[in-house]
Amino acid sequence: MAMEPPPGCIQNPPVVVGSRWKRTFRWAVHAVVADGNMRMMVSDQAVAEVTPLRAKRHVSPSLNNAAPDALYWSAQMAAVSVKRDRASFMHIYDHFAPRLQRYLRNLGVPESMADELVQEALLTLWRKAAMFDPARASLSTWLYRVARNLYIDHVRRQPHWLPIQDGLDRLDHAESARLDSQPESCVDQDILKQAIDRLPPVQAKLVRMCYLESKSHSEISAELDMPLGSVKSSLRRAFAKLQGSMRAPR
Amino acid sequence: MTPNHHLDDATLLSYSAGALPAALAVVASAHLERCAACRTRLLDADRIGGVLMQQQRVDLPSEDARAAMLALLDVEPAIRPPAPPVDIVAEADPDRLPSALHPWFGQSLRALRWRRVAPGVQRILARDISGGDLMLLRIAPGSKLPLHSHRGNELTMILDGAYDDMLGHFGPGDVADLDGETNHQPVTSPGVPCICVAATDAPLKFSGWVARTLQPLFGF
Repeated sequence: MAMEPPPGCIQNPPVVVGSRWKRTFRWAVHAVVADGNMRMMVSDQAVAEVTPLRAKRHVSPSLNNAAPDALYWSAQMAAVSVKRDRASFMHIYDHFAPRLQRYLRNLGVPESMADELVQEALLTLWRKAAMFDPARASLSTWLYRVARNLYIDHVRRQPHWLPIQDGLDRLDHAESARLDSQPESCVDQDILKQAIDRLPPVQAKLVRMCYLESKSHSEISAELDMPLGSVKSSLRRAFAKLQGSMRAPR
Repeated sequence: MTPNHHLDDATLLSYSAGALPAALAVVASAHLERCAACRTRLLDADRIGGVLMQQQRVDLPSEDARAAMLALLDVEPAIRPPAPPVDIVAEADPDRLPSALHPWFGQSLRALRWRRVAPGVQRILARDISGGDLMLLRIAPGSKLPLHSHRGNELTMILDGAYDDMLGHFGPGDVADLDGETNHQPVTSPGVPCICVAATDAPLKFSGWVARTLQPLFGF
């Protein structure tokens, strides 16, 4: 279905301009030169160019469904995987290492351990770059999983978690290799981000307590003095909304 | 076989956030292993985590940290993608327990050593699990369990046989994801015993004095 971009939405990438096969990406690239290293940073503020992409979805689902930043990161990952490119690796490091560090610190991980786990997460990326499938998950999702798994293994001390997650990963890997076409896999992160920002305050709070403080339903229930059933039903409603935003036709 | 009863959305979010108590997470993992639909939903939940992680405001890393990272790359070889997971794909073998249960109960259904805890009910408790209880239950065919509700969360996955309750028919691979609002009375199907793995993060409570008498036998 053809859609005209509403006036004023030019600041919000991506903008659908034609059929579902044709999308306009606003590619935000911000170059920082530091100590002779060119560091490419994707930022919301600095908009450099607008690139229309016209690839058939079944040929290259990742290109069509990806948000611009997801597209940028998958190109960096390809360079790491194929060429063992250190500059690309360091672009990824510069962006994600401080965010993973902040995520782990928020979960109460002591600073030195958080540093170690961030290094471990990025080393995992270096080692397993060939396992990264941009059609299935964006780099932020992939790294989130890696860091979360390391947290559960090292901090929560569930010794069997890592091998089980590896098994589930490989299962998904085998499955997506077997399938001809991908499901709606690589979701536009900006749309998801906006949907998170639009959650009603209580749902937003519960989602953050869940993800950013890693609190169980019972812990949330006790801390907010809210019945367990209400905690769960609010989280269900939040998830339904966010899933709806990921699945919505764009 | 495709399961018909799945993990609750709230359970999946908690699993994705690394916040699900350990015993419940084992049963959730066992179901995820058998259920592609729930793995897809889990990926959605992980995307939310990815966005929240990326949204945080941060500074650029220090030059020391960058140099340390680069030094680590020198000693790390790349790993090729491993072969397809033979251990997990081979789920056609009905004797094989889900991989997530192996550390707690071994690999084989037939090799399990059951302990009788009540007439028609046998059980194996997982040892040394923190954050709740994890157990296998083997309930004789055609049995009616006492009416009970749950104080906390309970996650049960059927491994063999089946049961029916007010929520429907539960067969192999299905999970019952219950909380304090559910009061149910499962009846196992005739034919073969119903074998399931159950995890709780709080003790179950039974209603009625007969059930209260049974409770110590169950040891929940």
